[in-house]
Amino acid sequence: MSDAPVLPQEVKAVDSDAPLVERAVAGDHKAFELLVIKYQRRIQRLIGRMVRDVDLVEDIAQETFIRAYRALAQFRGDAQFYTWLYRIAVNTAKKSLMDLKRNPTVSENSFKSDDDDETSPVENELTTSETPDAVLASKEIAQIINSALEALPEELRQAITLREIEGLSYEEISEAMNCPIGTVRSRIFRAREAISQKVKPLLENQSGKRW
Amino acid sequence: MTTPVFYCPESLSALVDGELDMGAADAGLQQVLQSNTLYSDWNNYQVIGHALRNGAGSDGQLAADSAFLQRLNTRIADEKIMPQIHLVAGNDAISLPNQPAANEDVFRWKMVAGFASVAASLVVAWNFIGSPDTSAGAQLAQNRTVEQVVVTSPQGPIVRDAQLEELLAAHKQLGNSSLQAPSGFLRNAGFENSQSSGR
Repeated sequence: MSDAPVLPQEVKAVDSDAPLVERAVAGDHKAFELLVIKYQRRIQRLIGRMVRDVDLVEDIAQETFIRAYRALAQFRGDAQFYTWLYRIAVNTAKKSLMDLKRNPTVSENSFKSDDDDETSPVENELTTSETPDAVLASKEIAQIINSALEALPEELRQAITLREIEGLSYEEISEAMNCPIGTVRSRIFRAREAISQKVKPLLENQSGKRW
Repeated sequence: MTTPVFYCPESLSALVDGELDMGAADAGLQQVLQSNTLYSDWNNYQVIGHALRNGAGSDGQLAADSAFLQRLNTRIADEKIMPQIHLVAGNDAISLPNQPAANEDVFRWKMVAGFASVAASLVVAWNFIGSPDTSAGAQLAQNRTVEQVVVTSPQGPIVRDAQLEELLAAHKQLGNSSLQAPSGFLRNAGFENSQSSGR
């Protein structure tokens, strides 16, 4: 017996980010925000592997998204959006490292855009990702999420693990778990919802009430 | 109010995973962008995914998400940054994937010129390598032993090349032939006869 009715939309999208990009180019800034939310952690993690100075990671990540936003209209969809963003991040990180070699005293100012002549108040703010409070809060969030995962029924835990940790598609998960794709979709959703209910209060507190 | 196609709680989860077709994804995104609850859920799902993938190695990223976005938004607003339709000259930090080089054709011609110069070099080199064989052949021909014969002439004995002597003998033979001697008709021809016939 299936856990949920099979939905009609079972065809995997070529690039699930394409509609978001289209909307962002058309001027829907919230669509760009969704892309940022989706990829900022991955980008920060990527840059963190290239740049030793943790203070610079967030600045380079910011610059990466600024450059991506400017060039968004040039994204033609030949590659996945993340691949495109990845290359911008790597180029931005390399450029910043070269700037640092040329002028070791230059730090975040070297990542500013070419047309940015005046210091923005934003750049005077402290980066928040590495503050002790943020690190502590992140550890707490991760702990709660892992505890919630452990508390899930076996089939839900297996489904969300195969998806998020192993990176399998719904089709692959359905083969691995020997169940219909609709069931996979339902199990993953239920697992996420169960975890989300546990962690939501903490995320709302930590996010500055933004979400 | 018509029920949107996307209005199924599971669909947001599937949308996050990129498991909706384009039409459904587009409709779903429309709703996410209009609903604070769905927008918040989108973020929560992303946080959960990141935490599951990276565990305790997430550093401060899980807690600092909104601050990151706020900084980004402030900067975009302050600097009035907009997506650009055309690349600005000098904006070299962004390398677009699969973007053909502006001088692609020139590069092809450079390739052609390169191959041509290599071919020319090969020809010249071949000539240099090949020439010793040719000169060796000529040298060999020069070193050939020449047979000489002694011929008696009115001026006395003369040493000659045997081949030259054969050639001269052949010409001498031809010289004695009837081709070089006036024919009988010409020998017997007289001026007087033609004059008398004219009268």
